[in-house]
Amino acid sequence: MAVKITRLRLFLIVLVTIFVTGCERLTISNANGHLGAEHVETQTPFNAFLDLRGNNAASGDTQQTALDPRSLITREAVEAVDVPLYFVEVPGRGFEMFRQVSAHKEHSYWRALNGTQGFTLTEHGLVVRTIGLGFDLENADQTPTVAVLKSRQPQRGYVKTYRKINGLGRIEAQEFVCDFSRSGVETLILAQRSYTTRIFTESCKSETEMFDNRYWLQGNVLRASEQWISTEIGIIRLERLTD
Amino acid sequence: MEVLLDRLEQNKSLLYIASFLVGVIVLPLSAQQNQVQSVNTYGVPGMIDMPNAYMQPDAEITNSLAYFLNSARLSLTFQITPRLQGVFRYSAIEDYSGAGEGLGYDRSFDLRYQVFTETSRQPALTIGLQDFGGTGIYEGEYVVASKTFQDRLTLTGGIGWGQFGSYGSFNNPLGEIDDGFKTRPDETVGTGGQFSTNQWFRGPAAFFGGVSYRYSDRLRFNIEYSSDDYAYERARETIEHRSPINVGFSYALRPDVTLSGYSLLGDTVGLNLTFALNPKTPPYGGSGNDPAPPPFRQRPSVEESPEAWTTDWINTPANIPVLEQNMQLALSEAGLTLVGYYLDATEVEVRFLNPTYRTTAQAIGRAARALTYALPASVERLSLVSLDQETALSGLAVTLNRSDLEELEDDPSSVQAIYDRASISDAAAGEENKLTSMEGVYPAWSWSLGPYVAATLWDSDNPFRTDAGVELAGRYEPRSGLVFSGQVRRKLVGNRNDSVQQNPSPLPNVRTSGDLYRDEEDEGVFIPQLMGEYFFRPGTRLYGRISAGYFETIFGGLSTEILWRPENRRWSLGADISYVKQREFDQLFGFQDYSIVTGHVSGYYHHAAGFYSQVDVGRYLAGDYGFTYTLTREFDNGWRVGGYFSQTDVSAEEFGEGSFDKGIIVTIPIDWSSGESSIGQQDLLVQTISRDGGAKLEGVTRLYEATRRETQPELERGWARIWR
Repeated sequence: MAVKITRLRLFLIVLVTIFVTGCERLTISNANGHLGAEHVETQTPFNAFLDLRGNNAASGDTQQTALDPRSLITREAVEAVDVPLYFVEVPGRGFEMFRQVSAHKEHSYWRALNGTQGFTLTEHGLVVRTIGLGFDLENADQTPTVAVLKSRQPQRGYVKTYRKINGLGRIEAQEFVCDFSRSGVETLILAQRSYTTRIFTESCKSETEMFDNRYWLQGNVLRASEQWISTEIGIIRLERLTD
Repeated sequence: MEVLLDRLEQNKSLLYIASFLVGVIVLPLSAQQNQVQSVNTYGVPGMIDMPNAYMQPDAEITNSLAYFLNSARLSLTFQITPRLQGVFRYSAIEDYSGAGEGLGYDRSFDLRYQVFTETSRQPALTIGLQDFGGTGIYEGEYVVASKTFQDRLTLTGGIGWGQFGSYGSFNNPLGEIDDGFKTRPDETVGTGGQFSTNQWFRGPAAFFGGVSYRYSDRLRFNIEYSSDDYAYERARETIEHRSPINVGFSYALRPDVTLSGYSLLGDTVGLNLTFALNPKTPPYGGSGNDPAPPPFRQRPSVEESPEAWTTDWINTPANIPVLEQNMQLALSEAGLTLVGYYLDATEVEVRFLNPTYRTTAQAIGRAARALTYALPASVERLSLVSLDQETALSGLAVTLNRSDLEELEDDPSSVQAIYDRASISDAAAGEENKLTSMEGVYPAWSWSLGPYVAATLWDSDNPFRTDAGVELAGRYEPRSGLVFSGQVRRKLVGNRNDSVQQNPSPLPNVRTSGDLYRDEEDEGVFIPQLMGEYFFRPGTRLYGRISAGYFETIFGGLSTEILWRPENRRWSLGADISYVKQREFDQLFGFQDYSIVTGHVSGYYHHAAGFYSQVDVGRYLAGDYGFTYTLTREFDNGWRVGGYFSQTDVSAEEFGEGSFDKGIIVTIPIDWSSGESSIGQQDLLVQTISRDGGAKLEGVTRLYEATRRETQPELERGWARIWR
């Protein structure tokens, strides 16, 4: 009998585990409609890009065999939509297409076609804020980088400030000392169109970490860039698909 | 044989229970833990069985399970401040009673304070009080020093008393100061729970020490000389002391999970599994990963589009319902419920329920964004009032200029800048009667049907008692602030009425009668709660509540509370009074004879650095008078870790086991672990033993908690999320 009781206890524990983890799913509930309905957008012009995500998972660990999703992006599809587009790669998370949703003064606002992420960019395409990635960038003061990209001259020792919301929920500023230099020339192919670009590298370091941002400039247009977001996210790559 | 089998089963189940609890407590594990110290079998930084002088990183919570020779210790350790550490430990000890009755369970508390931190020339030095408030089985004190060389080799040496002065002991050197230190008074287990200050640092002392070598980032080897002779266990012949030398290793399976193995006393081997997490490092970072909101809709300049700025629209009554619908839809898409509004040509006040965002700041930011899509350009001033989702109580009116939002959104210092320009006032100071209430919001109702689980953890006779069954819950709000709610349950399975600990106190059995209620739960459906509550603002800075019904399993009646939160003060004052009667054991609609008027005056104080105090003074359910003190460390991300105790005019003997009411409270916000906004939170209450003395009425909504989200200090704490 004693053994039976302890087995019952074990059974109960298993049951409780299932309940605790599954209570919410098992519960049937109803309310008279306080919460907003799911927002559903019909993005007909963007349909050409919606299927690309199927290749997303493959783009990571099996690069040798996986199809590069860029190869599926046609110039025709890009030109069929009436808003600017970015192709964005986030380390470890594959890629996402972003479209511009609005612009104001020197900033533009971008939202993922398939996801829930958003970016704020300077008019040159430098990342000011990210939302929805987790470990997001709250704000980057890109003023110094805007200046060096305009001059396109090597420069040393300027300061950039990145702000994030730390684990306690407070704004935390990180200051980096950066050097800007030329790194060569490269022809990029973006949505079946080639662009001859000059590459610039911005090497930044603080007391605890360092990173290299890279910029591919075609004339005054930033065609592609690799930009640091946060310690945990690392460096994301942005490619401007729209002329 | 049956007895042996039973014990083995008990041990297995204990291991399972402990692992399960550890898992529940720490899930999900935070991504990175730096400089987390390996812990000893008591859950504090140390080698194997002996402590060292180090502390965990500030706010670190470590859960460790040590398991050896039919014994287990589950320790929950919290780094209260960078130098102060607190431990709650639940231990399973073979032949606890000494009468051959199998496993017994013991709870104990430790405090450790680091007197000196380590420098290049100076070792760290820590004073520890182990099991200072429990039944005293692990009672011991120590002073220990540790120094690490080349980041690899750590030497530790210390002197201990009590349990730490039981092997290789010598006369207490403190006896030179006062003869009273030379002998340690006999341990009197009694009802436990009292501070045994007359024993601290008294009696024989002994040295202990050890060496720890970090072989790699993951692997560490330890060897120690132990000054604990395990007298308690040896007297019960459950362990033998063959050697004072213990050796072991610890291996980091992940940065936050460590497995240790060791030999103990030359007699047995054991394992120690440690989980670490830190409220400061949420798995998705401080930003979370909420979906991006639409950007603020920018207005054209007056020069470019003067017609867009016209105020003529206010003169056309037909426009108002359209704008009302715009606001309702836009707020709804932002996860907010529009309850009422006042609109004129240049300003708007909106009141909305916030079922979505933990921080009011984020709700304010999202509401402001939404309104820029809903309203004409001429509406410049946005006055936003977030209402508590449960009580519909208003707190603050945050007024933002639309032009400031447009100007500052992408400014590098925008978070502080927009706060500086915001105007914040008490929403109760506004003219509520000019508001237009939204139709269709009230009456509001909701119901759910699903499983329930009720658990009682870490009792002295069973670590894990639980019931499970089916629950039908309902909630009806005929108007703002008036809430009727209740649950009906049918128990299907469980063992919460198996307890053997009920020794009723000589006081009215306001809590020790709990098992009689749980017994009846087997008989049919029961109603743990069914009540109505009305919440209101009697004036600026004042909040009120009136409640009636069956508040909790044991009591029902009438209750009222008032709270005063003065502006820009660190303190608040409240008072509650209730007339309650004891319910029938069947938890249906009847009452028993026992009734009482109970109530407290409560003071709340916000110390610096996130520490909060609460003192409740008054009359408790059993008619005893006294106070309850609660100290909580709160983090801006919503985590809370605290402890409380009650002292009333009930003696320790009258109170019974534990001597007085005390417990630990841990609150984990859901959005911390999921990364997605939620007003939900997980509360973990570890109460030593629920006895009749110091018992407070449960079930009613407490105004301080219900209203704190909508106060200025909380708004400031969450303001970093204004643009999120």
